[in-house]
Amino acid sequence: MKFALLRNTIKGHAGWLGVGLAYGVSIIFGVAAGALLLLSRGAGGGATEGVSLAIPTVLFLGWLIGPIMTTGFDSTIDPSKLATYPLTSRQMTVGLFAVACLGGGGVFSLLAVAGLVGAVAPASPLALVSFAAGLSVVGVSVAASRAVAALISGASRRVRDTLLFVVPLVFTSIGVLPQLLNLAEDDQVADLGRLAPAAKLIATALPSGPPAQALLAASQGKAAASLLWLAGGVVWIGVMLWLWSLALRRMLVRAVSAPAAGARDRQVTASRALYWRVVNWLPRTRVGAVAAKELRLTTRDPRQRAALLGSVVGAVPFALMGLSQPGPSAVLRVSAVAFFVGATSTNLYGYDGASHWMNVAAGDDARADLRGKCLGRALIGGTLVLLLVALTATLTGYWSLALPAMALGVAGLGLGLGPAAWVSVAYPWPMPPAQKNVFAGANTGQGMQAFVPLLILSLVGGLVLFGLGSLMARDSRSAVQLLLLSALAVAIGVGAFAIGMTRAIVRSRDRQPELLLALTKA
Amino acid sequence: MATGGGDAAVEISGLRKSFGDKHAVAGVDLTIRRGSFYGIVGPNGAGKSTTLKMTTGLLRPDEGRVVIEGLDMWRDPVAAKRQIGILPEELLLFERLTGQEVLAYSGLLRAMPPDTIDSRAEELLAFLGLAEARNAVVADYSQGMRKKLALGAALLHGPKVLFLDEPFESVDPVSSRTIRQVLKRFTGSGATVVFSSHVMETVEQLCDHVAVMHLGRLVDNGTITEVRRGRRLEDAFVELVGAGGAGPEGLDWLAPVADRVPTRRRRRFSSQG
Repeated sequence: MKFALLRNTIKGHAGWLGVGLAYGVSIIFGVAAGALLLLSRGAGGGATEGVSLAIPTVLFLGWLIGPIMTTGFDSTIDPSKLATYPLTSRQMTVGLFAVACLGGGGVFSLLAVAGLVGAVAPASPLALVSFAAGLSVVGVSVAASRAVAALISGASRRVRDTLLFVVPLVFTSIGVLPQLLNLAEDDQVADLGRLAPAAKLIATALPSGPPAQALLAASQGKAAASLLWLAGGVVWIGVMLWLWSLALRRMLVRAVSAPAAGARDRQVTASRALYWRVVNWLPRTRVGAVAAKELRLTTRDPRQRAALLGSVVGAVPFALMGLSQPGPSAVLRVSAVAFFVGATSTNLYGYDGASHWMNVAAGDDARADLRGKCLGRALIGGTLVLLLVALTATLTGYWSLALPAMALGVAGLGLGLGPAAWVSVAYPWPMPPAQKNVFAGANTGQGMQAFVPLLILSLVGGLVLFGLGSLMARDSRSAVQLLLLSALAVAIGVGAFAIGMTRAIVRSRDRQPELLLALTKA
Repeated sequence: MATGGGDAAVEISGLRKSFGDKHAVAGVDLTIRRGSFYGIVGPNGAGKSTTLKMTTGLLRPDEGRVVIEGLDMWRDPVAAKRQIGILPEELLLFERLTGQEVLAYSGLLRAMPPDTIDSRAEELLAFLGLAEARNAVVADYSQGMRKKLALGAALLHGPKVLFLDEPFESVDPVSSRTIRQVLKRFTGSGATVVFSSHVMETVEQLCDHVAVMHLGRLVDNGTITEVRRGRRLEDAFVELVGAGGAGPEGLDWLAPVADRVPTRRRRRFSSQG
């Protein structure tokens, strides 16, 4: 059945899935090549130890967090579809485990681990232990991933929503840690070295730790130790499968959501209820209503919260990196956040999905819908930039650059959001619906279709922004130069947004039913 | 641009739609008079939903013309859509908006004044029995509550024609009764209701006119009495679309359960009690 599902998914989307596949493979081979290069340069036993522990850990965390972050990335069979069949949860667990290993994620993982095993396995019978340990790494990663997903799916909607927000927040925050700990200073390598024992301890304590240690022990010729660690890995797989089986039993008989009773009783009028208190000034028009709805859903829809979080956490470390380098760039870098928020909005209609019929039924007004959606995004991006500019200017004392940084933020938002609006209309694709099973979504490659133009536009926009920022940093002492550059930045931002919007409106004019149809193809 | 005229609320002519080789709607012509309660019936896959989608501007037809209250749906969609309310079959509302917010959003999309939205939303929520759940998100609504909320959103702007796709599907009797009451009040004011269903009993009770669709075509239409021709509507329907199925022969294996379970499995079941 899995092969049939994959075949039917690929049908008609083979080209873009191919691009996605090539992209995924290039990343995996990039990582593998980096690891092998490190080893071949004779970095010694420390490097072997590091790679042996790091790759399984990254793989394990990827399997654990990936599906939660994307709320449905893999095309694994949805267990709830099997609920009506006379299968025990144990039978389902075993079958679904095999199915999970057959998907793209499973194959990529096996390839990555094969590379690692090939690099560290000894030329002795212990190579067999290395091979088994490699398989165990993949097995425990898949089993743990499914167990956690099933546990989350079986929880109540409120718990699920909270987890889908908190888990990505915790894990993506790790990316900010080096900045918060100010590790980007001169002695970066030494500082990171201080963290190595702790990282090793954590990597070993994870379920992927024992098979990783087995790999390491086998590479060092320690037969008994490697076999013991391998046994530990097998035990972890058993534990994870058992947990998964328990979670499945619970998940398949639990209501998708709680009854509507018990909601907080707010006595506000309907038109007031749609608007956040802080944006109550937004007009009571179609543009205002769409913007208000976007803002409401950004906080309420766990998929949108996670997406926003991803773009913000991706940009904030870069923006704050400048704090460790005294100079004007610390304040100016903040505009990157606006660019990230804008450039990651390339699927503005995706979260609406088939619900977009409400807009179509109310009469086609693509201009108002797009303006409303962009306004919502701009309010989020603008607020973030404002706060970060104030923070970095206070910390560095470069208050004179606050206004130019804001102007650069306008440029970033325009350069990101304008092209994103066009991509949203030209390559719309439905996001997996928020439902009981976080693995239920099927990837048809439409996202990759939008990704290519996004990549090109991001590169161009990023270069323009970088150029403007560099000029501002160079001329930071001249008020006149800064004023001129600020005006130029605003003009570029507004211009890029206007061009993108115009193209998007022309593209979507009188084509709302087609847009709706594209969003309905889940 | 106003076209047509007379007392027709909806005029459909030569409507066609194909998906690949499949002709979902193969040339539909239908005129629905103002104030009618019009049922469109047909077996699954007959083309009812596709016809309603094309009539309401949610799906572009390959050929044909739809005129609503004198306004061409595909030449002047904004003006035509002002005249109609829609309750689609797949109730895909914004899951994370509350019931009250969905109504507000729907009203503001149609440029209604906020005061009007507030007072009408209040009344609709009370009448539809959703007042207590007004602040709950749609994700927590039952199927019946969703139908009622979608009906509220379709009625909020006071349309002249209401299109409902399977409005009583998966709805409990209490919610169904509420929906019927709302619809009767609506048609009592001279407005038009067009709805699709495959439940003949409901159509017979509610509608004054009916159109029967089969394989993308209209096979009969007129008043209920005209289409029934002295029979029950269900009998007339079955005759029009063909009985279908393979008859009583075959499926011999559908014997009593005890005879079907393999011996080995039966032994295990009996040991478990």
